[in-house]
Amino acid sequence: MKQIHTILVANRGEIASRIFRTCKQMGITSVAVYADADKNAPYVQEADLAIHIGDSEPAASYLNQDKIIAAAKQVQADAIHPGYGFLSENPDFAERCNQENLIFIGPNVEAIRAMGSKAEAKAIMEQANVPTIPGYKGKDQSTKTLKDEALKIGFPLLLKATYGGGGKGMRIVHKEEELDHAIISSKREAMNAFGNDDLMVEKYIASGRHIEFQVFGDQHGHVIHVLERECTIQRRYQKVVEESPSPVLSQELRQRMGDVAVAAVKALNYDNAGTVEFIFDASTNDFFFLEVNTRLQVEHPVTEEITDLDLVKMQIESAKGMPLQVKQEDIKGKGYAIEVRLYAEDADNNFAPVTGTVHKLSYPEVDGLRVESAIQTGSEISMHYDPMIAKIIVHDRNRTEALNKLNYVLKNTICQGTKTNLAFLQTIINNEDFIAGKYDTHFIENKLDLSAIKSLKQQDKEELAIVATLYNWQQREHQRTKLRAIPSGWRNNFYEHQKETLVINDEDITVQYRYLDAHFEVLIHDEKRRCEIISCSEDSIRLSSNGLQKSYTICVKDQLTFIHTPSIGNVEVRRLDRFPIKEKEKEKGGYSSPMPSKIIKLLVAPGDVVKENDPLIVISSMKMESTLVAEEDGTIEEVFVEEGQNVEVDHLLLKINSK
Amino acid sequence: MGVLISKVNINSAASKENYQKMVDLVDQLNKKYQEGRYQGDEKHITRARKREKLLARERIELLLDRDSPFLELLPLAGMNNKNGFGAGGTSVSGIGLVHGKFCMINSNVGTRKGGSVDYATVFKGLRIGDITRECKLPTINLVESGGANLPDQAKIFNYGGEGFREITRRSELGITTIAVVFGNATAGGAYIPGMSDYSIFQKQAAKVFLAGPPLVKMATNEIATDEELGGAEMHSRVSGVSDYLAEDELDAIRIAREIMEFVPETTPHFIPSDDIKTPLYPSEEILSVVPADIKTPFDVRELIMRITDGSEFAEFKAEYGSTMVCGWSKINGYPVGIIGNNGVIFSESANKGAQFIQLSNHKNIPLLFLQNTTGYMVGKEYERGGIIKNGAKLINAVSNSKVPSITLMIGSSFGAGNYGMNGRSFEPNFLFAYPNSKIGVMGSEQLAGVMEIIQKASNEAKGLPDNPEQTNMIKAMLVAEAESKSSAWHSTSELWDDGIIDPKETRNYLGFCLAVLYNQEIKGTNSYGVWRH
Repeated sequence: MKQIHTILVANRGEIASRIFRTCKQMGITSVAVYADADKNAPYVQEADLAIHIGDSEPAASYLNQDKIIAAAKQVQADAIHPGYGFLSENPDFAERCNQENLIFIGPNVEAIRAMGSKAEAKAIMEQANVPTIPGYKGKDQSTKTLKDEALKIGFPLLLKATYGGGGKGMRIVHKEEELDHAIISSKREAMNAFGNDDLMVEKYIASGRHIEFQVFGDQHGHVIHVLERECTIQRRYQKVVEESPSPVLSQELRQRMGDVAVAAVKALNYDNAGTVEFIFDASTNDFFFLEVNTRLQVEHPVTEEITDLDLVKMQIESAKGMPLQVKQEDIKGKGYAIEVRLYAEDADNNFAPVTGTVHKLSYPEVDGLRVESAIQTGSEISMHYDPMIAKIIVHDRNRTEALNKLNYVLKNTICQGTKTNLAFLQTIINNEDFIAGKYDTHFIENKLDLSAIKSLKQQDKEELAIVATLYNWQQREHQRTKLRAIPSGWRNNFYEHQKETLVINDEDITVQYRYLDAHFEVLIHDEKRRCEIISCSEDSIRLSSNGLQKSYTICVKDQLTFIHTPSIGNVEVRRLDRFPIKEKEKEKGGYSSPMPSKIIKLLVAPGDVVKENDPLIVISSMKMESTLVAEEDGTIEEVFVEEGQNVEVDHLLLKINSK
Repeated sequence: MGVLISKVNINSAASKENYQKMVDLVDQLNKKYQEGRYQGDEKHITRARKREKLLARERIELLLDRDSPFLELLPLAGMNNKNGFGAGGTSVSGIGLVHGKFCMINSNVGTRKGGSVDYATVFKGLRIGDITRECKLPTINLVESGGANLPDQAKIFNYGGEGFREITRRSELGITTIAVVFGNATAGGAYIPGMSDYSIFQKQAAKVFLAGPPLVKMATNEIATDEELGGAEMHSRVSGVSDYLAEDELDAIRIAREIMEFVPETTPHFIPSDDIKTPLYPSEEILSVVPADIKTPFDVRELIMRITDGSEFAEFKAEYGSTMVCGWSKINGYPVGIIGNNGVIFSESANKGAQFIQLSNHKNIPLLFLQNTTGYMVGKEYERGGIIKNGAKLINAVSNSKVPSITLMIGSSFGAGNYGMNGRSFEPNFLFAYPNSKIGVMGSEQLAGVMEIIQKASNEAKGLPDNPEQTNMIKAMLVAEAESKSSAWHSTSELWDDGIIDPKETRNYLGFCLAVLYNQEIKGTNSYGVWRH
């Protein structure tokens, strides 16, 4: 058996932290690699050693095999743990590690390679009698053959252009009567769009659920499964909520699917950790193989919580060549665990990622809560990487109690400085259908009103406006030098209340207040409240408003006041200046970056004539590309950026002369 | 320090009755204040709102730092003036903090009689000028005034010039004046921005010229518009009368605040520490213990213990000259020498007071006078005892004292007692009155009695028969006349004080004024007029 004394983690963020934790427990020296943007990241501090591997671009650092191998050599690492993402499922990298005499902590190269190709994976699975989504993609494209194959598969089914994409030529067919017409129109559309009218027929799973099985193998041919995780709640193909056990699996079904999962990876001579993903049709209890992920999953803590296993430790042991220490019959789930992913993103702006500094981040202290945090108070959310803030995992006796607890945790999670999906997560877990376990992969788009997430009740806005006003008052009160013993705002001939205007969700709220003998008379519109500051510190305030006492966590950055209180959540309140400097008129014909981004491609040069809606420039922010288009006809006057440049928000990119 | 213990039964019927009388007076006062806050009729206010103009008091609220206290001065000046513009005139003046610095703010009420200046407003301005100079306060004038009220022009013309003279004399002393022009400042009024160290003109609003279009047409036959003659843009770009061109009212106020950021501060004589004790008795009780009727005697210590920190009082010569209570204490942490009357002033009382003033000058401690005296004691014995000589000593000490002082009228203020106790003519830095207080040569009944005796003597000398009916009528008229002329309302209307105050707020007024007075160096004197021993 090989020995591992030092492990280099070729990854960043929470997963690096997670792996270091196990390394420490096992007495293994841990090594972090970091790019420029991560110099002060928590995970870097947590490792025993840390090596700089380049600038913030992933291609120059976390995806750069040469640099990572060199770093591993430099610290005389025995093994490399790839985490998830980046190089974790890259067979060439695994192979390179082997060649360089470094243990790659993951499955063997062949297994990775085989599962990397969807077609190959499906073929192997079909051979191993693993159910795959029934379909036809044969050469014979006659209407009759297509029809016969379709009838064999059954309804509903999906017609797809073999060489297509983007939904063109795609048809969902529910009844036999619709079939002829659907085939003809699909073919016509495919021909028009792709110049080829070949069609594929596939079973359509209208109400599918995503259920995956954690599997584990050793280098001695043993494979077990470590129960399932249900990851049906997704948005834009990214998992948001993961739970185990699945609310729809019977013990019998669980066993059957687990056996299939084991059979599937046995067919690959699999070792180390992996995940077999299925699409599950709740209406029929049918399940079909989707893919095998040959890595440790983001959501692995869910499995760890209900089994008390340390999957990272098992990975390291397996990589050393140690036989599996647990048998299938020892694997028993206890209780229920759920994970939600906390992201810096704008849920009501199509989940656009947001960047910025997290000025305050804290979680409540609750039994059974596990937080895998990528960042900490003061961390920057960089445009270069996934904007995940943390994974929040809750474990309890059963689903109901865990959901209640998770709800409490989310209410009491403080994340100030950037937009997050906290309110979105709360909306999900408080949804009736979700609570009942009745959902499918379309849950978010079909069942949630995303536009309602950000909205605050008028009374909440007013409450927060008062909180911000009195907090600001208290800060000024501390700083008073002259007339300190005279009551704040004292008048011998009172004329009007002091005023402060706050902007909450684009609404201006003017709070009028008058300090009177240790309390405040507060007016919003004509409603009068009696408020009192019970206590106040730099980052919190406790207020009584008409007798109701509540605490608020507060963080002020320039004009912004971030307020958290469990009953409302995290809200950003902007202070309106008493003497607003007139906003400069928008630079005429100027185009600025809408968010911090990287300039991917310049499509125009000075002197080019453009028409309205012509593409001008491609930018990328957090791996999402978008194209800026001309809002007017004109000539490009000047371009202020070059390709590859990183720009902050509102950076002037180019100017069009529209004369 | 010794702590004063109250001997008054707050719950006695007499205390309660007094309390009620004082509450009634305070209610009257609040009503007058409310009248003084009048900023013009609905029509003018609506017009101002339509033109997005702020009202005079709103401009002050914006100019002040958030939460800054503001002490309005002379709010009722001219309130009984039959031909005047009512309580406070057409300006609002007071002291507050701008950019953390004490400032005097004057705001013309442009919506009340176009901000024209009546008799009271002129004299209010001059009094404000005194305070500004003595306290070295930067001044911010918020200008929107149509100039002199023409019916009053003869009465005020000569005094009006003083205001301009004082701006530049203060400038010579290094005391800043800023003029923010929101509207009219014409003819003489043009010299307010003209004389100021800094001038800010609001675009499309400021109108600053020596003569408007009609007068120019008359004088030189030239045809000109308001903007051409005195618009903000012309004065900012061409004449240079304006130093700052403001986009709008908010911008103008912002600029004034920006200027204040760079106006240097005076060095405070003393800054009190944070832990300040409050009096042992609630301020509300002042209404119970200070008699509404000035004829009711009361121990001034009952007031002192309700305004000093921790009700403390380091009494001086407690056993001597008992009608003059002297001692040192602190208000809001500021040391202050307090001189209060317990009735008529005897020779010993006068001498004790004079010594106390000398000591306070020696130690550079400001003085607070609590006036409640019917004057110096009269009669053979007292004349023989040299009451004039001793009274003169007190007046000598008060007149030449160089430490800052505040006078508070809490009851009677009659005869030379007013002088010896630092009355208006002795230039206390601030002078406030309780609504129950009275002032005059003598009390109205004494005055009437004296007149009756003189009348009788005169009739006798002329050999005329005694006419009790006529005498009584004359007496009643005199009492009524003297009564109204000696009231605090008349006094404040005549600008003999800087404001009538709600007694409950005494500590805040005094604390505020002491903070202003202590904001510069305090240096007493050792030099007086000739003493007659």
